[in-house]
Amino acid sequence: MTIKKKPNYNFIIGSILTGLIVALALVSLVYTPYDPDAMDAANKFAGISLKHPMGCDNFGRDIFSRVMEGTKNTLFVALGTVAIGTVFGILLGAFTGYFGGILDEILMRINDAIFAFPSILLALVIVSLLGSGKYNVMIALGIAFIPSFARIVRAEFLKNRELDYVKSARLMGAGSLRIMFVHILPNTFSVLASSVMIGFNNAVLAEAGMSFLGIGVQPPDASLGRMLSEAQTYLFSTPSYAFFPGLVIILMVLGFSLLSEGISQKSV
Amino acid sequence: MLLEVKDLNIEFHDHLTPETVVYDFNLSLKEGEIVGIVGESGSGKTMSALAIAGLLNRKDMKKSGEILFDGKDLLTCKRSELRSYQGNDISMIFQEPMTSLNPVKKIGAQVEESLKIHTNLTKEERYQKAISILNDVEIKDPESVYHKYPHQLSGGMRQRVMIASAMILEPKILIADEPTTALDVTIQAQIIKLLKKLNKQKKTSILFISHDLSLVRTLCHRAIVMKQGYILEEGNIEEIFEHPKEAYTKQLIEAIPALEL
Amino acid sequence: MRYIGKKFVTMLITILLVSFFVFVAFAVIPGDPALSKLGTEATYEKLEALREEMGLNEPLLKRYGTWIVGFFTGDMGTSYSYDMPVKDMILDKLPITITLTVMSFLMIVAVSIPLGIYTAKHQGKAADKTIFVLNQIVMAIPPFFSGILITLLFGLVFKLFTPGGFVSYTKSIPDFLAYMVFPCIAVALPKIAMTVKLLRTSLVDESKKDYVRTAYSKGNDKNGVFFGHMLKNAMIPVITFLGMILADIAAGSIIIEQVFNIPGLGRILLTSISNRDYPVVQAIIVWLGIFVIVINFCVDLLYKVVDPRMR
Repeated sequence: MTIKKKPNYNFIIGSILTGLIVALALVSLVYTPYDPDAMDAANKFAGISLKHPMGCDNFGRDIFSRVMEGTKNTLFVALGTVAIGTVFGILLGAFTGYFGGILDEILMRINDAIFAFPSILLALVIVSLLGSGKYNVMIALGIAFIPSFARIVRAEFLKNRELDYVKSARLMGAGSLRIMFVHILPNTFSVLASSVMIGFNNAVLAEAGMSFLGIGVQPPDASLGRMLSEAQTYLFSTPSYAFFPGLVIILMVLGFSLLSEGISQKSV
Repeated sequence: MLLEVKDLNIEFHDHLTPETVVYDFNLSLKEGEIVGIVGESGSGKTMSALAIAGLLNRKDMKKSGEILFDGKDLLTCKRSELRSYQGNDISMIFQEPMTSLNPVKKIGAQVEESLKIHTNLTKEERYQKAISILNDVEIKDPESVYHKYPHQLSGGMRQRVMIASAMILEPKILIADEPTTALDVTIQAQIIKLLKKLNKQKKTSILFISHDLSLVRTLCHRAIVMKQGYILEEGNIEEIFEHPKEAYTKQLIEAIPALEL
Repeated sequence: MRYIGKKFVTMLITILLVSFFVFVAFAVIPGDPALSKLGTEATYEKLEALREEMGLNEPLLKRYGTWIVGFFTGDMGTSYSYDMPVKDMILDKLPITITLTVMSFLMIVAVSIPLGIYTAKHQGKAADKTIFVLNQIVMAIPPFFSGILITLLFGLVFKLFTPGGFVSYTKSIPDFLAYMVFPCIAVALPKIAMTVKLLRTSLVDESKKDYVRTAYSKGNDKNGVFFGHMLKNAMIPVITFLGMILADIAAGSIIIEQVFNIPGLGRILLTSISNRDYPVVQAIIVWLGIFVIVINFCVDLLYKVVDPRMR
């Protein structure tokens, strides 16, 4: 009996959106219509035209090129953040979940305390200690993201360590490290994939927020968040300046969140 | 005749091809009678019972035939009319007493809920009735159980509470869907005894759905044997057990373990 | 009672732990505050004298002790940049940030719970599907961008408020609250979308449970089953989420204050971060941390009220 199956719209739309955004960022590595930093007094606040599809900003810089550049920077920070969060989250979650005991108890208490702390606040503390800038934001957000990944991985390891395939691997003499990273870890990927996407979603939002506050990506590097905060001054006269960077952030976040839902829908 | 079911068909449409789970189901139930519906899982016995209780209202299914109660067709009458029978004249208890009670509501509130819906009794009157029905289902210390939550009770106790909440308005029909399957054998026997007692005391007809023929034999007056949505045979309990017509029924009888209640 | 006592002690310990971590982080990492205070005027003697005066030569644990006792008795240190007590800098800003947080939170609860129930009740119908799509989009709009859009639309086009025209609560409470409405909407929007979605999922999950069938078998109508039975069960995960949201919007207010030009805690925090004014940063962070921990404590208590299995 075949059950009526709906196409996985979340996954399809999410993949398309994310694909487009990633493509935009990749293209910006080799080509942007204009130099994103090139100022051109003659084109100050130029409107939307064929030459400047998103218009120009207060320095006459091409907004489309800057959006491309900003997308790249945001994705780069998000990638670094998620990488730090997952790698350390996996290590922490794997050891605590697999071995348990006092260490697990202590680490998880600390983990819970950090987890309860809003990540933007934690990132602000770390940035205030390390100083602002792209890489520091990456580290700050990455650290803030570790607890949530550690939690998920720990739960999976707790579940898996009691399963028969792990027991039989142990009987066959596999060492703990081997069991953890060769046997169990691949079984957590389906759960992990969905949370990695949520991680991207949150990282993009957090990076944009921090750049908006002026402590993320530093000028002259273009950043979507910073563009938004600069555009605020000219909101009434040139709304397109704020509109396009904002739209790209929305599409990026939407893409990742749909992809995450699509993935968890698939693995059911 | 208290209840008459004529040519009930139940069809599901949640798959690519429609699937019929009950074919031409017929049943009549007299006042004070206990009828068993026997069959393995997937035989359509639970579906028929749910339909009679008015609990099959999913949009992706089709029901045809007649379910006549008091001369009213429960399949076609208005929802509000159906609700006025539910819990009042027709009650139901279920297989899983663990999950069939609301975990966040006190026992008392759940037992007297039907009173709240169908009568205008005062709070005090409802309390008195609840305590008395809890006594009837042989719960010790009903005043303290009244203020407890489901998770604080054992499985057998919970099923007693379920029976109390179904019986509080002394309905004409009690539909019991595998009420003892999730319980220990000793508790099973107690619940069966209780159902028998309530049937005698309150003249409630019982529709007893089970896969366990030995239980059906101790409790029921008549039985219906179902398989894959069809009624295979029906008759008086002794007749079915002494002279089964169908090979399938014989198999079921032979499969009864030697344990007698 | 024992449960509450236990949770209360855990809360106190967590507060001490968090404040200790923050204190250590700020005491160890940024370098010598005496040096940064003196700047180019520093000589060895001056530096030593100032260190002694600021208590920097004491062992760390003792310094923490002095600081935390001071913290709770109203002495939160002195700002490096403004040379005034941190307490005076924070105290009059606190009502602004609290208003922003509480008002947005009330909006979230007031809108999302009815809407969540509505969508769950009309599951699969056009209204449900429309709200589902809207939810997905609204969730993706960061508050600072919806803040900008709201400023443009309601401030500049419809002129319902004056962007940047913040009125302090000390001048006029009605004007203050009126100005806060739009920032609160910006904060609330994405959280409303998330809560609606969670409540809907939670209600739909509950609707498949056995006790719902029991409730219908007693003659309940749909409203009776929804409000009398499912809602309380479905609220259990939502309460956790709302607790997280409350903490989140308190932290997120930092950003939204920037969008709407509101001189709240977030403003001081940001200036202090860029000025490396650590006593101020430290105090604000610890206060926000305490706020978060206290909320978690309240959520735990609320849990017990809603879910008898927790007792």
